[in-house]
Amino acid sequence: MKSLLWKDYRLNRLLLIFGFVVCAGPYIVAIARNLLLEWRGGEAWWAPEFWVTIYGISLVLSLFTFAMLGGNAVAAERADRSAEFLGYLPVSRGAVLASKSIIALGPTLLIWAVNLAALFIVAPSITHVPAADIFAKFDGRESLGLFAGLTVLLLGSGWFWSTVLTSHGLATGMSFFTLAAMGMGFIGLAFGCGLESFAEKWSVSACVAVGIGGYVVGCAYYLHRLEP
Amino acid sequence: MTTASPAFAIETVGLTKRYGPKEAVSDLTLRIPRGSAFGFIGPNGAGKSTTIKMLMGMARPSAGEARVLGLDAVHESVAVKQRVGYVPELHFIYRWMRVGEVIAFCRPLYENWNDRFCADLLKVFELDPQTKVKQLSKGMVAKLALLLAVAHEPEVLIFDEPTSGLDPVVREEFLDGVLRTLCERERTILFSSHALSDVQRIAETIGLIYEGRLIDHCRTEDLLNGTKRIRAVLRDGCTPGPPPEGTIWQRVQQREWLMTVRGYSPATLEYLRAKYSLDNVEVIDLGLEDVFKDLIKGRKATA
Repeated sequence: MKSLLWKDYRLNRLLLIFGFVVCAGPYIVAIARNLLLEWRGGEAWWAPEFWVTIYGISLVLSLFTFAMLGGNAVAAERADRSAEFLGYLPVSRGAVLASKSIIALGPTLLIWAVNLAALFIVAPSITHVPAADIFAKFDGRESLGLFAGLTVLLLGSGWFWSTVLTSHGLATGMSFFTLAAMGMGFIGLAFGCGLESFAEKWSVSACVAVGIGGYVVGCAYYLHRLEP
Repeated sequence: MTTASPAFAIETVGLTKRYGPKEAVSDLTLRIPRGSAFGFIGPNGAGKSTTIKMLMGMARPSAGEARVLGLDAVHESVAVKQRVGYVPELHFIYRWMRVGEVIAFCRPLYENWNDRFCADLLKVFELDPQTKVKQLSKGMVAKLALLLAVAHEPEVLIFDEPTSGLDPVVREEFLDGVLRTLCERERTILFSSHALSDVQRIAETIGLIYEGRLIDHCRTEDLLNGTKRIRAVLRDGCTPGPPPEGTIWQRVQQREWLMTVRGYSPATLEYLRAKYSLDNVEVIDLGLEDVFKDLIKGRKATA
């Protein structure tokens, strides 16, 4: 298993660096700008809104990372046919999936942990505004729910497409297509059918359900098929 | 129902693989005893690679079963792969890894990995552990694939066109490597190749597959000793008629009548001399390549 984890880490190393840059980059740039302002004698903006803005930018950019983590999972090795090499090694498909799941889910959780820590630990200690107030200020429940739903949807649908396609680029693209299709569906329900409250209430749940469903169906499909 | 017998390293019973309406492998029943070297030959698209994929648990049979060392190739494929070394035609070893990293990656996956043997092979094959796979020549990648296939001391070695695209020198070195591993301990080898001189050098028994069906399975020696080409020159006015029994291919050009006879014996010549008026008759020994070509040409002609 260690061997598989090392291989999957190496395969996704560039993507993990990209994920780190887009997650931490907005914080680093914004904090550096504020420190520079203070150093030059200006007044930096450390208000709760600052942290909420950076958190939003970081998570929006990280959506690309989540989609690529899902889309790369299986299809990347199919694209260069190294999956065939892996196929004739004595490794169970379950172990292969477990390793890929760790490499996809681990960084996703880490990115979320960084953002939540920034919002609920760092921001209150710097702004002296309680976390609950910050949370209330930016309508946190809805915002967090939406980002969580999009994360699960992009990761899960990317994973599904990755198990059925041979191109990781296409699998990643298809995860955004799935998001667009669902978005249009809910917009249609809201404005075309007048089911605005229904769409509002169920859109996040639908994203989570489709994402988890994509992951489960993708795993089942990968475990069933013998071909690499 | 289990049809496995410990006497056989590889056993297929009624093995069939369909892709839509096309049968890539049809009702293939094959038994390869332990410790033997089996040459698996056939034209392109005959079903060799599909059969091998099913043996390696990388393709699901449409019907029948495949067993390797008594293990079900589909349901016990991990256990099969522990005991089998496989060298494919095309090598898709992770190109971004270094040779040493490939070995370090594969080593923990096998229960019987032999570090000393692996180190010896690295030296013999002149593979530098620091070199990236993408920087290796095709021949060196083939040697690395052979190293990975044998370093865990498998009981069965399966080669699917392993020397395809290699230059003669590298091919020779590769075959030497194969023969070395074969001689070191009793191993079963399944060697599929279009390079029939290589197959002839390695295989004790031959299986010929054509359009998904096994059309011949016999000892290489018996096939070569018992298959001869006869060149008969007919006298003026004499026309060729039914060829001798066992004729797999024939061609008539003016007075020259060429035929390849399977199961040749002196009685074959007696039959020809008794039935036809001949000026001259000559018996020619054939190599595996000629026998193979004539078998296929004969099949195509009768089809």
